[in-house]
Amino acid sequence: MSNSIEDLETADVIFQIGGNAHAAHPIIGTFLEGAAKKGTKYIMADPRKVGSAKFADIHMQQNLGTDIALVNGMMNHIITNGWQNKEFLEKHTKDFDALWDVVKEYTPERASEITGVSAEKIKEAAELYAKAPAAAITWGMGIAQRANAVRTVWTLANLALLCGQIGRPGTGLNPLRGQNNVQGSGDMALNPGWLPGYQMFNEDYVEGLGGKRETATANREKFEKAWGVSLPSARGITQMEMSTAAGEGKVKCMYLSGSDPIAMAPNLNKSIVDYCNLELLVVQDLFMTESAKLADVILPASSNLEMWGTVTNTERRVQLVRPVIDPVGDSRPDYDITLDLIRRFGEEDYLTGENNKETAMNIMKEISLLTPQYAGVTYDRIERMDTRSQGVRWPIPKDAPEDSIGTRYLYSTGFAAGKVALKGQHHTTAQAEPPTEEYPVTLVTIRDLYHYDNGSMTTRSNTLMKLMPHGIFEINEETAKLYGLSDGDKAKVVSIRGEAKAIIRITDRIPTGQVYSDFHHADTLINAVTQDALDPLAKEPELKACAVKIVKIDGDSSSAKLAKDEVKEVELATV
Amino acid sequence: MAEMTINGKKCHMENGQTILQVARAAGIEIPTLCSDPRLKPGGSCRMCVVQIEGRDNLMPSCAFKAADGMVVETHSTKVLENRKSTIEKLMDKYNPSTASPDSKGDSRLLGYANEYNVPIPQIDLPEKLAIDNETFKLDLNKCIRCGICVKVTQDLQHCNAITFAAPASSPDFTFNFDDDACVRCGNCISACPVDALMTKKETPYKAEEITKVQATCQYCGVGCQVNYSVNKEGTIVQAEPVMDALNNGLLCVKGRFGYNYVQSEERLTTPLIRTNGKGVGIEPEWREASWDEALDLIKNKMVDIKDKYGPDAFGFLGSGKQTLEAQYMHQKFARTIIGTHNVDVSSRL
Ligand code: SF4
Ligand code: SF4
Ligand code: SF4
Ligand code: FES
Repeated sequence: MSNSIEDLETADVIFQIGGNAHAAHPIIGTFLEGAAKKGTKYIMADPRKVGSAKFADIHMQQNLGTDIALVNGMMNHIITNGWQNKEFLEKHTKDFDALWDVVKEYTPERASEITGVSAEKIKEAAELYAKAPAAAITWGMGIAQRANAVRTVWTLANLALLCGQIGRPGTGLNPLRGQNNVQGSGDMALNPGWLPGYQMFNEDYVEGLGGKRETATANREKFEKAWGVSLPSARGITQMEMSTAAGEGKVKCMYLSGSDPIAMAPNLNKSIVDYCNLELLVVQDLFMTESAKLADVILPASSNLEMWGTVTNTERRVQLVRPVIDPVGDSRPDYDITLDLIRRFGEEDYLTGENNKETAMNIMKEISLLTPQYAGVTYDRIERMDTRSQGVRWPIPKDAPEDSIGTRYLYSTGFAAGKVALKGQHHTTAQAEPPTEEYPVTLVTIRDLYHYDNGSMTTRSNTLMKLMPHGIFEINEETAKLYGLSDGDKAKVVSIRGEAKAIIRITDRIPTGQVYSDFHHADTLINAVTQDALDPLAKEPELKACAVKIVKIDGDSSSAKLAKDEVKEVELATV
Repeated sequence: MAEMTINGKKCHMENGQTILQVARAAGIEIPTLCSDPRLKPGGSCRMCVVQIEGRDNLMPSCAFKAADGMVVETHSTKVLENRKSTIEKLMDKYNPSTASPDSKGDSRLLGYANEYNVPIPQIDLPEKLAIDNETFKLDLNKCIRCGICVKVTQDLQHCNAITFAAPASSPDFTFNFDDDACVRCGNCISACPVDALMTKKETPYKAEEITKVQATCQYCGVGCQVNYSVNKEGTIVQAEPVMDALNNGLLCVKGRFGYNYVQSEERLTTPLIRTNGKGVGIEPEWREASWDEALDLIKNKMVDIKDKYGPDAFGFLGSGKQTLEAQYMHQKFARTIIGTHNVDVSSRL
């Protein structure tokens, strides 16, 4: 997030698009609802009548995959009326004309045709956002998991820049992160394209982005010096590319640390074949996950409640995890395992300390030396306990006092790169895999309130399993009628790639012709059905939508609340 | 700068603050039952009364605004006697037994009774449940009708699931509970001062037997701060929100009830080495191994693969659920020991 959680509470206008905070980030959901009650104007753009919809002042139910057209429509109305922040545009941005060239095609009426949202609503939302003293944009996985994710985020950035709604309290671009340390995974360079702190190392790539070649060289040399190795200059490959390369025999060894790509990545049946082709698959995890079942060696990792460490939340706040209990069985903290391996490769281990806390602190010391955002982040700083300020939000300003809690919002003095280019984006075909006669329904995967990721954690809570014991397919009354389904039916959804089974739940929250499925339940494994089309830039798969048919499974139409055991019987989709 | 005197001590104050807020900021404890710093003042239980110079009547400090130059006594004889009679009156209708396995035994009312020497009767009334579901319950024989739970549902959680069904003073007093509106976050439960709202405990425990350790929630990116309660056997028995943290004393249902996985029987507890071949539909078979054996095997195979196919025949996938330290070491291993940038994170999905 460019801003912080308290900025969402203090904004005059919130524009939430493609994210159901109520279910995916429940505490932020309650804060947003509280703000709406106190008078913050709450604009929501989501195809479903999701949790917080009743608190929304404007709810736009746009067609799937039409976010760019919707936001372009808002920008068109803003520019037509001259509501853009001219002073801000002048000072901090360039290429306004190029943006207008794109956006001028999206009159509210045209945007309405594409999105299915009335032109009136688009205009109203645009006016509220543009004229607000402080307006914040927030989004969730609904944006990040689309094939055009990066272009959609640029479009949202255009809107914020156009109105100067960034760099002040109550404004900003605020993605909500799905896992407790996704922010950290980017910061720490679990990424093929940069070193810790987003420091790019490939000259051509940096030049392509409009930067200087020397920056890339200097970044690489900095880490080579610190680590005492020489680093390749070519960028690496992403998760989906690794999987394909494994299938082609180009990647021979994979090391999965806390990740379960078989359950979590789209087109599961292809992933299984790919991963089976590896010579060595190491899986380091807490449980026998779907991916672990394909491993050659499994290493038991400790959970975050068994060790010292830090995680960075969605507002860049670095906080502690502490050993609540001793490591379970012979399990060990991830970083200890890695350090042990490093020693076995005959390399010097200068990070392992006298005890677990010291090791964790030593690693943080190295992180803060090499990662500009983490300069000044120390366990001492984080451990100070002040009201509502536990942890520190990066970056900590240089020469900040010892009790500094870091930075509440970024870009208060402009942007590091100088003037930012407004990169206008066109709406493209809404869906990478549109419905066909044989597969007439659109499947969208979602998160539900009661579970998390591949379910390996939440499905082991009795309480959570009582509340949501099995996978659910949500459809509306009309879709149900079309395919002869009723509430509580066992059914399967089938795509050209595979099938998955769950229980039908009828709701009025979603439009006809769509089925929503969570991806938390191992007995459903919805990713057997989903497709792996990639966002050309972020290389993120098109998880959010694909074409399917829904088929009732006979002899099983009774209760909506099947016992866990019964659901467990549901078999894996076959290849 | 506005200032007032509490128990002879000069205290800094801001306009609009209540006496209770000024006292707390100055480190002076005043007992309370019906007020919660996150909510509008209660003003009904009268536990927090104080003596204000120039006034005959004692005033509830949670509702009464501080004023420049005000002089207040929080523990004068008159105040103490008044509080004692307040506790006696409340105890009259309160089931003091902590025998229920769901009771944590940390009722603030019982604590104050001990502190103010009010005898606690040895009785155990049957439970009288106004709310009873698979996750939690509300015992009317413990409820002091303070209304905090109702305010939490209205002003913090916005579920509006709990409402008074009759005036607090009415003899047939009870609550309405809207089950559909309740998402089982438990935020009403952790705000109840007297253990009347209780989670149903898988492992019963009493508050005095446990230790609490603060850590960050394992789930979403909000990063709520949680106090995990651990019993003598080393089992985590409860997760509760930290009040003075970004989550403002709130958790969602995952943060509150999703910790069991940590000590699940199904945790992997030792390294495993595969003993059969891989392929679609083949059930894996394993044998247990020592760390030495497993790690040496990995190292030797990695060396072979690197020699034969080069560093780019490797792929590393970390996770958005790991610590920064784990993520950093994972990519450092890939980049320095193997020499590849083929590093990614599964949470891109
Ligand atoms: S548990 Fe949560 S949702 Fe249910 S009544 Fe209490 S505060 Fe509301
Ligand atoms: S249940 Fe607890 S919080 Fe609710 S009114 Fe009774 S005593 Fe107060
Ligand atoms: S308690 Fe809920 S909202 Fe808070 S971090 Fe955990 S999952 Fe997120
Ligand atoms: S706490 Fe002040 S009247 Fe109850």
